[in-house]
Order: sequence, then C-alpha cells, then structure tokens
Amino acid sequence: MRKMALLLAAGLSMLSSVPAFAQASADQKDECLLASRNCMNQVDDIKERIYKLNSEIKKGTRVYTPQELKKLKDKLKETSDVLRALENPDS
Amino acid sequence: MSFQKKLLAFAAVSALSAATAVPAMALENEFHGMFKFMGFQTNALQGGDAKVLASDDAHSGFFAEQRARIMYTAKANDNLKLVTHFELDTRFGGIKVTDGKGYKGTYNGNDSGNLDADALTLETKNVYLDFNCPITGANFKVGSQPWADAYQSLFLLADMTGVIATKKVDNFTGSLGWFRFDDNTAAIASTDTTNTGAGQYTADLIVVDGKYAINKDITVGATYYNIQNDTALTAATTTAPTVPVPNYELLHMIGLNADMKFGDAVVKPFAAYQFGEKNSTTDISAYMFGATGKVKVGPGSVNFAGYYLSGDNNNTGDVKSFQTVAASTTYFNASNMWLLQRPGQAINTSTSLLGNDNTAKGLGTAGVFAGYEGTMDKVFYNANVGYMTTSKKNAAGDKSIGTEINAQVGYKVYDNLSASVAGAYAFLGNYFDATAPDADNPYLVNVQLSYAF
Repeated sequence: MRKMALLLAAGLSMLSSVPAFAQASADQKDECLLASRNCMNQVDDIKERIYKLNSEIKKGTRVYTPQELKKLKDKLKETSDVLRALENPDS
Repeated sequence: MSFQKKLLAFAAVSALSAATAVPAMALENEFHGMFKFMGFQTNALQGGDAKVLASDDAHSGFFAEQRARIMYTAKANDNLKLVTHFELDTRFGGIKVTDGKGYKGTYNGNDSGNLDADALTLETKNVYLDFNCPITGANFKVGSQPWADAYQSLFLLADMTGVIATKKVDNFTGSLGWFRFDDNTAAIASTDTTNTGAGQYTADLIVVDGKYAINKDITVGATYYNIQNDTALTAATTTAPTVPVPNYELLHMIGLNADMKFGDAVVKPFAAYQFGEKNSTTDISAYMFGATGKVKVGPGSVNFAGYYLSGDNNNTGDVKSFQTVAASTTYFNASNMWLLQRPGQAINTSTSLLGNDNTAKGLGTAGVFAGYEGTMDKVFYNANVGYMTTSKKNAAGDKSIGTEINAQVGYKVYDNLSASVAGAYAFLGNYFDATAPDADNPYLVNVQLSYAF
C-alpha cells in the first residue's frame, strides 16, 4: 500500500512540476516559443511574446541550432505582422 | 502489494501522466487584440472617412472615439491554424441617425455610442486558414486576409479574399497570390436567362513577389502585380456596376525594392512602373519611387521618408497618373503625419487633407518628411515635419498642398498601456486657393490611450 501511495505521490509531483517546464533559463530552450510544446499556463500578450522571441534569438547558437534560430526569427516576423495588423490604421 | 493493487496504482499514475500531457497536444487558443481611445480637439476632422477640412472659419470641436480589435487563432500545431480578426468601432455619443456619410463600420446610427448602447458594431476583418504544405514545404494562406504591397502601401494595403503561397529556398523567398477583391455579379433573378451566375463581373489581383537576402544586412526584392478589372466590361447594363473600382480595366505593375542596413542606419528604397489599359482607347504609363529610412542619433532616431507618384493634368492621350485600387486602401505611414497623410496611429477617423487620395485625382503627389523619435524610461516622444505637393499643377496652376509640423509625448502606464498627447498644425499651400481661398489652416490636438495584448 505504501508503494502505491509513493507512486501516486510521484505522479502528483509530476503534475505540479509541469508548469516549471515552461520557464527557460539562460541556457535552456524555450520549447513553447520554438515548437508550441509545454505551453501550459502560458498566456503571453503580443508584446511580451515579441520580447521573449527577441530574448531567445539573442541566446544564439549557444542554445539553439541554426535551423531553430531561423524558426524563431520566422515566428518573430509572424508575431510582428500580427501586431502590425492589429494596429493598422485603416478607417 | 497484490497484482491487482499494482495494476490499480499503475493505472492511476498513467491517468495522471496522460492528464498532464493532453493539454500540450491539444488545440491552442490564442487571443490577441487592441483597444484605443482617442479624443480630438480640432477644426478639421469630421470623424470617419470624410477628408480633413480646408474651409473658411472652420469651427473647432471635440469628439472622441474608440476601437477594439480582437484576434482569435485556433492553432492545431505550428503548421496549421485558423486566424480570425474582428473590429468594433464606436464614436462617443453615437452618430446622427440620418447621416448618410457613414462612420466606418456603423451606418444609419447603428453605433453603440448611442444612448443605452446595444447596437451591431462587430466587423469581420479576417478569416483565413494558414498552413504549411507537407509536400511542397510552402506556406499557404487561404481566405479573407491582410495583404500589403512592397511599396510602403502607396499602391495597396487591404484585407482581401484570396490565396497566397510563400516558399523559402535558402536566402530566397517567393510568393504567388491571387485575390478577388470585387465580384459585382448580381444575384440571378428568377426571370433572368442571360446571367449565368457568380464570377461574371469581377476584379482580381495577381501577385508575384520575390525577395533575396544578399547577406544579413541587405535584402533586395522584385514584384509583379496584375489587376484585371472586368466589373464593367459587359453590355449587360442591368447587372454591371456603374462605378467600378478601380477605374481602369487592366494594370501591370513591376517594381524593385530593397531593405538595407548600414551600421546604425536602415534605408528602404523602392521604385515601380505601371502600364495597362484605362479603357479600350486609353493606355496607362505611370511610375513611382521613394525611400524611407531611420538612423540612430543620440537617445533616439531620425526618421526620413519621401515619395513621388507620377501625375497627369492633360486629359488627352495616354494616362500618366499613378494608379491605385482605391484611395481608402493606400497609406504612407512612414511620413509620421497627422494631417498631410493619414496618421499611422489612426483608428476610426483615418484620413488626410486629400482624403487619402495620394494620386490627387490624377495629378499625382510627392512628399518629403522627417522627424525625430526617442524614449526616456517610460516616456516616449516624437516630432515631425513634412511637405507635400502635387506632381502636376491643378487647373488654377497651383501645386503646393502644404507643410505640417507635429509632436507627440506619451507615457507607458504599463508595459501594454500607453497614454499620449499629440498636436499637429498644417500650413495650407496654394493647391486649395481655387476651391477654398480663405481656408483656415487645419489643426488637431489628440489624446490617446492605447492597449495591446
């Protein structure tokens, strides 16, 4: 029975630890920005998303592969386009 | 632990793990949007699309308006999403019920600024599918979507229904698109035996766009746009529109553009040539060129921009006037003007001295603009000056549209919320002498709250 409780506790700790995956430190990849993974509990507003993408791009090849960097840059352009569309001054 | 209990424990842990894993695989619901409040004290703005007034003894008044835009994206994964974008415009106090001028998105008083609100003000801007094709590797956008030309939107920036495919190969990015921005085919009457259905009287835009990144600082581009306007090419006058948009039948536009970075300076030059057929007897031969730029100086940056659109004041022979699709779908935001050009920060009231018609009814226009912008902690500021003239003289022999000076100071209340005050004043040129010889110089003071999320 004790083993079962331990197993359940381990499972619960996994559940509670998931949001921590969303935080990327200086040497970690931001999987949410890069591949829309581990995005739980993340609701970025558009300017924060642009700020984060810029921050991740600045990490450069120390953290990301060239292909991943290109993907992040594409996402930055896409997000900037969204902001431009939102603020477009058509009457 | 018995086998049954082990099985139970395993099932419980598996279920918990699955519960944590599911959201990462599920559809992502992404919301973005903006809200702006604007108040104007002005002797020139009429609210909505009507152009900036140039009239004698223009009365000054105050009006306020607001706009919200809501964008919802249903994202299945990085390769597939549906984008929807809506807009809600309101003038404070609503708009006069019988006012035929209309107020963008609100007609016949259907404006929730009226007493007790309750009105239909929701506009659809975009609904399109955005996906990456696994076979070709190209990105496709299908549906009602925004599209902008590569010429600072002096030709066209609009939300349109169409399909565009974009493919990247190393440093080259190519796009091929088709937009149908007009289908005026009337619904088939029960007794009508001549009309065969939708798609008879249409206007289409074909886009071919190529960009090549020479290095990380220099990108060059070439474009070909083609407009085929068949909205009036028929003898079936009962179904053809009387005023087709655009007012030509065939247009080819070829152009070159570049985006160049030199140290702290960014320069974006562009030029294009148009040819085609105004109608069966008159051809079009027109051109445009210009540049925008930004140079870091001190704590901020110096902005500069200029353009020239060819014009024509001779009604015989081929047309040399630069052609657009409609005045309402042209911009030159790099000017940073409030009166000479429609302001880049505008919401419902988005107009200029020429009513956004940079072709000046065929005379063509040219403008030069410069300014400085910067930030100090949470404060941001900018000041600008600009001059515009028509390319060809009007009937009275005048060209000068005017000179504008403006300035703005703002404060970032929160990361996403800013408050600002701006003032703009225009010295009218002699272009208006023939129609409004004693016109007062237009001015405006703007207060603004802007939130984006």
